[in-house]
Amino acid sequence: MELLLSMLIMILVSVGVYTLLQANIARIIMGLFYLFNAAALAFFVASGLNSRNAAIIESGQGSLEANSTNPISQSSVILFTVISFAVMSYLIFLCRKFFSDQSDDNFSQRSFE
Amino acid sequence: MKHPHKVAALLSTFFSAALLAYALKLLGQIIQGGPQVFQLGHWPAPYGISFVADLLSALFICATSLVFFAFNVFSLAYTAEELKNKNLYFLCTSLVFASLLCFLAGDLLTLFLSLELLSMTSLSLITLGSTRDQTRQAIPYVILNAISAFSFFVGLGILYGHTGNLNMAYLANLLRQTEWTYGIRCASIFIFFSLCAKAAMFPLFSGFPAPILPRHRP
Repeated sequence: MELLLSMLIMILVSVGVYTLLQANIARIIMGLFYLFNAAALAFFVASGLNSRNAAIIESGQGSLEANSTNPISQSSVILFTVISFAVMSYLIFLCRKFFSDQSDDNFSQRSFE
Repeated sequence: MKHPHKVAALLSTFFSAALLAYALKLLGQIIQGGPQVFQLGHWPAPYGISFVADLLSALFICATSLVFFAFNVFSLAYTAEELKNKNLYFLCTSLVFASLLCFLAGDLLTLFLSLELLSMTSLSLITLGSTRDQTRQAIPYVILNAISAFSFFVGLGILYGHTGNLNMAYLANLLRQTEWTYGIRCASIFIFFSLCAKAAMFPLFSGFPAPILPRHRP
């Protein structure tokens, strides 16, 4: 499973870098989107894939059960997802604002220069 | 309200003075009792979020608070009119909050969060005037910041896979005692690249915005 996911990460990073290097703002945004997904997947794979119980401490217990998943990797990926969403939203907002005063409203065909 | 920016400026000045007083108190506590550790929500590390203040971070906090207080006092009289109603004080307070979080972070994940908050608030301050030039300058900065965030998080993932922990004190002890594997070296390169990009070091400063001069100088 790790090998398959590693290959998927490799494909995502390759596609992400390729689209990021295009002189088109919509493709740059898509490239960042691929890279962010690759990073989240890489964290999951690096921290170990397993199928265990949910990392929830029951009332009356002081610590996690032995057969629980690791909550740090899950919380880290959630945090990264939120941050990457914020960065992408801000980038899209800036691009919309920058190109809004041009007559052409085809956003996907816009480039920087 | 007729002058909301005046109220915001006065409130911000008051809170920055309180922050400066608290930073000086924290510095005194650290000089007397050594480094201070706080676990958020009393959850123990590594599951909880740790905040650590030693002498160096306390000095940085004092310097940041002093600069923030000076900025507020200066802005009471000299801030350009066009900036007064556009969330300047909110963004500056957020910037100071992110800086303090960066100084107090006890684990790498909190450091990552604080660096991203710092970048986002800096970006918002760059585009505060909402002119076309400012927006044009900010777009490459956002892209470079996103690439550095990707690099930092991949580095964190590799480091976590090899050490099983992201606490800075634990990592400092572990990496001092054990031999560095290729994975740890690879994670260090990713994190180093990310921090260089965020600090605008050579040759990663090309995406950063040119200085934006104010229209009205004091």
